[in-house]
Amino acid sequence: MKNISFKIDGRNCTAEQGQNLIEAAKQNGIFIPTLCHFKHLNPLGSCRVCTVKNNGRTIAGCTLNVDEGMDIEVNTPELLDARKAILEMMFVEGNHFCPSCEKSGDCQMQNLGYETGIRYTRFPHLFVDRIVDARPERIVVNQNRCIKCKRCIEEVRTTDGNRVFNFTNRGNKTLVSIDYEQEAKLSDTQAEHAMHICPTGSILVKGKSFGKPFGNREFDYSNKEKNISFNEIKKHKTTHKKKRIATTSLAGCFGCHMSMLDVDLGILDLIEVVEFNKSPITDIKNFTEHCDIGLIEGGCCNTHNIEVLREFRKNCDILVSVGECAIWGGLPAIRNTVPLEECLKEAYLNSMTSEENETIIPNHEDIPKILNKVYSNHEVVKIDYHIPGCPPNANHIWNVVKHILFEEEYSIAYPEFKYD
Amino acid sequence: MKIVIEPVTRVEGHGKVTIKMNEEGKVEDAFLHIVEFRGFEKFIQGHPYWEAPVLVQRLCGICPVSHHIAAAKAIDQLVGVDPENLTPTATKLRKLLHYGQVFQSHSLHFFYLASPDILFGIDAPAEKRNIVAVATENQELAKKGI
Repeated sequence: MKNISFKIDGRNCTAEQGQNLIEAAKQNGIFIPTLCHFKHLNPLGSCRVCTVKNNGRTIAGCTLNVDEGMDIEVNTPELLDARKAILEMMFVEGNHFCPSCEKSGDCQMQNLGYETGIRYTRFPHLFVDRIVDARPERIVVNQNRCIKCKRCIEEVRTTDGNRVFNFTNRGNKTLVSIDYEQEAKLSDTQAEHAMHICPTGSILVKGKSFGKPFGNREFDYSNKEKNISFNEIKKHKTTHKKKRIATTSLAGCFGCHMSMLDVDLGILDLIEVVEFNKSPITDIKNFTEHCDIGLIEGGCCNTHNIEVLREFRKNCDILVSVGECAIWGGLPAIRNTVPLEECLKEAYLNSMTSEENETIIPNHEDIPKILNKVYSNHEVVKIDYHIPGCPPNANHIWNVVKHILFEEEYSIAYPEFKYD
Repeated sequence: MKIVIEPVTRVEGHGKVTIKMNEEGKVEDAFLHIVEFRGFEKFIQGHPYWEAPVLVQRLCGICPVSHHIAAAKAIDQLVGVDPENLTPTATKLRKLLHYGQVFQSHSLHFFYLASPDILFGIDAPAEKRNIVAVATENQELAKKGI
């Protein structure tokens, strides 16, 4: 095979003529992210995450074979943003609730989210309600997590060479359906291969999804010790007035506040340079002064949440959404896939502990009204920063706060940046 | 007249109290509202049962372990395991988790929520009765608590 030379982002690279761009780039030490491309499979070009520019023309990198003199752009700001946008679309198109997903930590899409630094999505979530199919013999297919990459369709076959998966429907109704008969013929290894080849948590093998414990998974990084220190910002003590912080929990679970307290002794240094105004930490119920920064945990699920959020916007210079619930609704947003009425009926009328023939759903002038769906905070007011995680790591939260209040540079360490 | 206490503090969670007074200044009606409705009862349905423990953890970030174990017990019933027949390891692990939760939650409540009331007395001004004031006035004590 003839060796050719081409350029990636202006760098000279060499490869065999006709080699797949993803592989060729890898050999030259350049990583092009992709969710559908898989070793020996013919280029699928379905996920578009590997979008690059060839001689100025946008194209899916995995469908490109390198040739002499090609000029490829991979990591330009424009393409990095485009790739992030494509990935964000995948996140909003399905239901990707990382905290409750068995694949978390082994999930390629989740990992790409970290790599591309997605903190929030610029598109509204669709909150689809698709089938979770547990009828197959060994496999559970959760259609809500499927990104239609086509990997399983091309790769998973029985020993006789028959396909197990295939597309049904068209357009945005496309689903990956399962041939139950063929699925029953899969060996254990073949079934597990299907689970591993899936870039999300869509295909799971019954009883095997927790086979690898959290912490030892492919994209898990060992959690470093808490090393947050406020010592260096104490120098601001003499030059600055104490900065004021306000915090609140809307439709959250107080887990993010617990995480804030997880700085342990760090909090003693912290209160030397900042003071807390309205916050569950100080039990100050109303704003007494204008604050520099407001940390919001939880999204908006009732009218009271909205009032509090607007009050925070009015009384704080900078607002930060802390945690998944604040950023896009988080787990409580699973209720967006179900009509509100059904949720209320289930909780107050039909639950096992409710009285027989119960007809009352709590409704009182003093109780805030429940909203039709759970809203993210930036749908209601302007939010300046987002800290993802369920809950975010304590270091991460306070690093961001330090950065905002005292203009201290910081970089997020991988283990600190988490969706689950 | 109506007295509204919101949010209710010294408790781990969201709450609101409204007290209605009549013209003579006597209490006519009193309510404790738990205003946070998130619909977990409904939306955990339809998920594979092994997801339930992790889902319900998010009911409360202060006592996630209690909810986790409650879901685990529900799964026991689903798959027909008598609590008596659980393996000793499973029982011990659950107990350990629960003791850990109780210990953490009690110390959080005592040091972070209740200690300011006890140390400063309930006659002290409200803005002083919090953990930040404790930490400012007696750092050594706060350190021990943390």
